[in-house]
Amino acid sequence: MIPFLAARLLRAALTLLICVALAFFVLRLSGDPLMALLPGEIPPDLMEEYRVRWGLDAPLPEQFIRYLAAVLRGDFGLSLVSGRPALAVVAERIGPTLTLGGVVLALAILIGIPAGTLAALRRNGPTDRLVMSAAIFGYAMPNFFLGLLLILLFSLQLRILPSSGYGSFAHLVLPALTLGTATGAKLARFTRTSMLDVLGQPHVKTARGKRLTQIMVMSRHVLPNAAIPIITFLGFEVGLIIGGAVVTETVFGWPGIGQLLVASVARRDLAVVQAIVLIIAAAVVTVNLSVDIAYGWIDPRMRLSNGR
Amino acid sequence: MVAETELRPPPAQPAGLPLTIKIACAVLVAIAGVALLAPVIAPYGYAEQDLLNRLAPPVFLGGDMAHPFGTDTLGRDLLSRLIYGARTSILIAFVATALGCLFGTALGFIAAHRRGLIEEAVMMLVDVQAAIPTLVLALAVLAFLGNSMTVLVFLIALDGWERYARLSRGLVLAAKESGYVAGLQIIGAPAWRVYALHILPNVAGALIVQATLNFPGTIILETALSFFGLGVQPPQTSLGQMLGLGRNHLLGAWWIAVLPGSLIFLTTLCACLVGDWLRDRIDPTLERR
Repeated sequence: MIPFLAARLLRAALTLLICVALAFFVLRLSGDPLMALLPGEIPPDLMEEYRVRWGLDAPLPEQFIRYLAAVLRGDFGLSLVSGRPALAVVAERIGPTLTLGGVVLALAILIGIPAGTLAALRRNGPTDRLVMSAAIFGYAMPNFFLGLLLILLFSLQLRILPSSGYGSFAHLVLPALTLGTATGAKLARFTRTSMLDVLGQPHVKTARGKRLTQIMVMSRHVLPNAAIPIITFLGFEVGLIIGGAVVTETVFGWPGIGQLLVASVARRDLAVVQAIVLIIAAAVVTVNLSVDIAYGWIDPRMRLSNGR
Repeated sequence: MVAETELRPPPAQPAGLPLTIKIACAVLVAIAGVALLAPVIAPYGYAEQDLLNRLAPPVFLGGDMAHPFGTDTLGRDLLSRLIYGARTSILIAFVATALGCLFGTALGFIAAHRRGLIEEAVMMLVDVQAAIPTLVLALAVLAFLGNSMTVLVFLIALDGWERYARLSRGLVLAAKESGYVAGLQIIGAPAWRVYALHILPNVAGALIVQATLNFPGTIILETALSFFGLGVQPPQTSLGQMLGLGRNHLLGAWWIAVLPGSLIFLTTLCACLVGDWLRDRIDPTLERR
């Protein structure tokens, strides 16, 4: 177990280091941030002063080392727009994104897993067809379009839900529905496949042959086995939920990190964009690391095979 | 386990295409045809303004046949813009899918051929790509590199390359274990010949299925970026950009947003249906998404 853990941790750390390097070089090499920030007619000496003040005068590798050391201390630099620490600017937006993401994940699990299970049990029957048709609609629907349709229906026509903002339960409904549809649909499709895989296994036939009740077969023999790929899938899905949150938050004016990212990109606020990209990468890597560890803990085969 | 699979009868092969797939294919061909022939079919230019005839309603809301789908805030004909927008969106998605597939497959082959450090490096890049959602990465890079069509296409091509890399690496590793490759090596076939003429044709089917499954996501990525105003720039138009503009007029002229949105949805839905069907038909063991 220890070598497995160490290998996983090293991999996660290396992945993050490459992310930091990519974020730094891509964003820094792509242009002079001062040019975008300061008005055109600035005396060269004043320009120089700004350059020194923001540490933009050192050679790039040195800037990177300094940046890396600072990131490890939790210092992502100052937001070029507000002058406050980038981490603080981002931190106050994490709460709303976590709320939205958590509700979406819960919604997707509560709807997707039962629907997928039901479809697998009624394979090729009308229930299966209905669930899978609904799932492919949810899966193919672009979330920005779904968001607009929901606003059109519930905010502009029926006038029962707010189209944007944050603070009450009513504000949460439309964004959660928008983002939850795609996630739930994908989960339902994946659950169905995983269930069908397990349902076809000999040990399930044996269980059925022993005349165990449907509930016993499902809860003792099918669900635990199908749960492993589903948990892995949910781990991968976290990154996609964050990506989807960028769109959803912007459509509904939800004050999370996704909306901040779009706004910061438009303002070329380097430090904030870097902080957001790195926090998202760290979140995704941590989730997948936890999934890997949980997986290795549940399934001893994984510890030996380096799990690829 | 082995006996189990042998006892099971082979899955029934339906005689023809299921009706849904026929319809989906027909719709995709029709959309692609209209997109390709845009300059011939479109009644107006995509940037042609008619300021006296702004926000004209579509025919089904009492408009006239001069502008069957109405006009937008600058009096541009929506039907023509839909046709040109579909052309841009589908062209970008197509080129980006092809680029991503080539890049990922090449890396997967290299990783499987060289093994060792190079393989580790490729798989590390795969992990990095999986850690940063493509939309987040694309947003950041586009805003800093500025908007050019080349940057946009390359960024969209990034979406999914890691899936082709992972898939092709696994398939090539499996192929290298198989008898036919061992046989080729024994008779002294050079490595490139084995890869290009023997392994590639054998794994191409699975890669094409993966590309089909990836295509809807690629369309959604481009339209999402253009929706934010960070993708295709005016005077060029794309379906996502039209949707983004229409978003500001939901109250008075909802069709400006709903028409391009429905066309995007129709395209992704048909592509999903065809992709699912191909996957079930050609390679049922492929990863489900």
